[in-house]
Amino acid sequence: MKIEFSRPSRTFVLGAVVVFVLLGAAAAWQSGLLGGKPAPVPEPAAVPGGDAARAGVEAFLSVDFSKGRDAWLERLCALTDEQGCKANTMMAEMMWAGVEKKKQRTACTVQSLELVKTGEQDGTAYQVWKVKAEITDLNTRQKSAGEMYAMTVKDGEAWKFNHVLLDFEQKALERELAQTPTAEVTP
Amino acid sequence: MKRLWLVLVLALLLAFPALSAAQADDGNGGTTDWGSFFDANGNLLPGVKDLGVQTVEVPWMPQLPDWVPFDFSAEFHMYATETGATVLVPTASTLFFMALNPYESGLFNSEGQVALPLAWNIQGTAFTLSGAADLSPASVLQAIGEALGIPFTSELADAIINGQDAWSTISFWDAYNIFDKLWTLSTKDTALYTVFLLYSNCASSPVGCPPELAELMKKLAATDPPKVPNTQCQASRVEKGQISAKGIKTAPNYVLVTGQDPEKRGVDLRFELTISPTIYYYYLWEEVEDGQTCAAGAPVENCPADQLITLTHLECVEHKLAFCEPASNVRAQANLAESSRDWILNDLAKVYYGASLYHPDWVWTQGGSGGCDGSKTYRWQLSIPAVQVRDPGFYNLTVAGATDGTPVSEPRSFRITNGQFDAYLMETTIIQ
Repeated sequence: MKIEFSRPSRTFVLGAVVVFVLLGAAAAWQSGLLGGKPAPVPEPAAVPGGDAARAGVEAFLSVDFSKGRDAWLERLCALTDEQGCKANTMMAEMMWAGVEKKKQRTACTVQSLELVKTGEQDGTAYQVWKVKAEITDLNTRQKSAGEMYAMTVKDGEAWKFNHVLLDFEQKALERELAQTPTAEVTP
Repeated sequence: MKRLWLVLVLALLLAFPALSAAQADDGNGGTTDWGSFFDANGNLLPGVKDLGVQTVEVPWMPQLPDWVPFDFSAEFHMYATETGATVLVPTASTLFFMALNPYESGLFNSEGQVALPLAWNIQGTAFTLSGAADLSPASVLQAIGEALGIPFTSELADAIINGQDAWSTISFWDAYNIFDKLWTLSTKDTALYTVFLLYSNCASSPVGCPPELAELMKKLAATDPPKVPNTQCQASRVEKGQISAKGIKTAPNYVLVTGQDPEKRGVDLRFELTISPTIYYYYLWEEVEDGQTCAAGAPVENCPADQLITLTHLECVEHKLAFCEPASNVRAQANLAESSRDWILNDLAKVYYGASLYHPDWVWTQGGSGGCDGSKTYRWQLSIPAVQVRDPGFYNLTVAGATDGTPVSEPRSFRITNGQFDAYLMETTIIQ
């Protein structure tokens, strides 16, 4: 069977094909597939809580033994909710002896953040961020980089830094994320 | 404030009848008890050294990711006598992670029994645990959980006692809640001192013997004041404990090289290291009883008390102090025997083209756990499941490393080959 189009129909079909191809190319360019506009990276600041996670991690991982534990805690607690301040006070108890013993001075820069979990439990809204950061040893200028998790909580209308997750919390989190990989993830 | 509170607690603690009975053989011919440290009013006895807050980096405290250059330390307030007897008062967070990792922190020995310390007192609970012998791991965990206000569920307690990863039993939010309670507790001043751990010797404690205390102990050992000059006695001496080790194949009966085993079963190995206590012998010129006689000439059993005379003489009396000698940087090895290497490269290569050595030497440095038990013996062990052996032949099993020494002896290295297993090719039961 042979299908024949009348001239107006051919013009219409060709036009539709051209429009379709152009629309497809535009979508591909938009998504970065054609190497044009970069793929959209979630802008931390665009998601409420990202700025709190960034500031908290940078403050937590920036220490100066000469300024002392209290100065470090004061800076950190200004960024946290009340419970977060207690958490970091306990961490200081465990961590600061080593900082003073090794005379550590560090500066941290967060490079990227990814929101991996949100939830509300016992009336507390919380977020967990996967944070990629770099630490510079200010004594030796050596750098180290890697990933860690940070928790933020809703405190009134604002998101506040709570604490960086320790190994046991991270294990529990990763196990849950593996079991329900998309259940609570906000893109 | 903390000091005042501590004194008040100890005053109550010493007035408590059960506690006065809390004593144990210190392994040195004497006893160590709470009364060795504090008087009835809770004050430190003269001679007891307040060593203040001691921090020590230990693997059982929580950790940040490896790339972060900060380590978490355990923190204890430490009191010690010059014989090395030690009372440790952990902070709430330290106690919590000790309880969560009882094998690594030395609370339980490798057999799952409460090993250290000699005696406990846990305030604010129904428990006054005295003497390790009558304690069960479950009761200790329950008491610590109550003291901290963080009850361990039976599932969590079972996991801890079985040496499993305790956190595998709980959800992320439950982990957060436990952490939340812990840091709230840590910020309350009075909650810092809820548990007192008594050790007969600092070397057996998680803190070890700080240099200041080790120096005191050495001085005591060298100049322990005798009642009369001891110039007639022989010099003190140190007898280092024997170091023994072995490697064992635990399964399967017949090990196939994994290249020929579709199930890739591999071989399960266990390595054990035992270091007997180092004994410090010293000699004192002392009065020794010979017996009794009656001044009135009557038999002793019928002698009036005021006529009874105790006969003595002076002689050198031997005393000893026992020290646990822990080891660090212990490594386990499995090495293909030379005869098997020759056989693969010569005989087997003639039959199987390309026969070669793939992975003849294995070394493991991580995953072992060790601690000092109540007899001052250091025990370490490492289990390695499903080692994927590729080369057939006989493997010699070795444990090597170095000890940390003791207050009276220097660190020493060791390398002990004791144990063998064989890995077979499927085609032949002959290996060399």
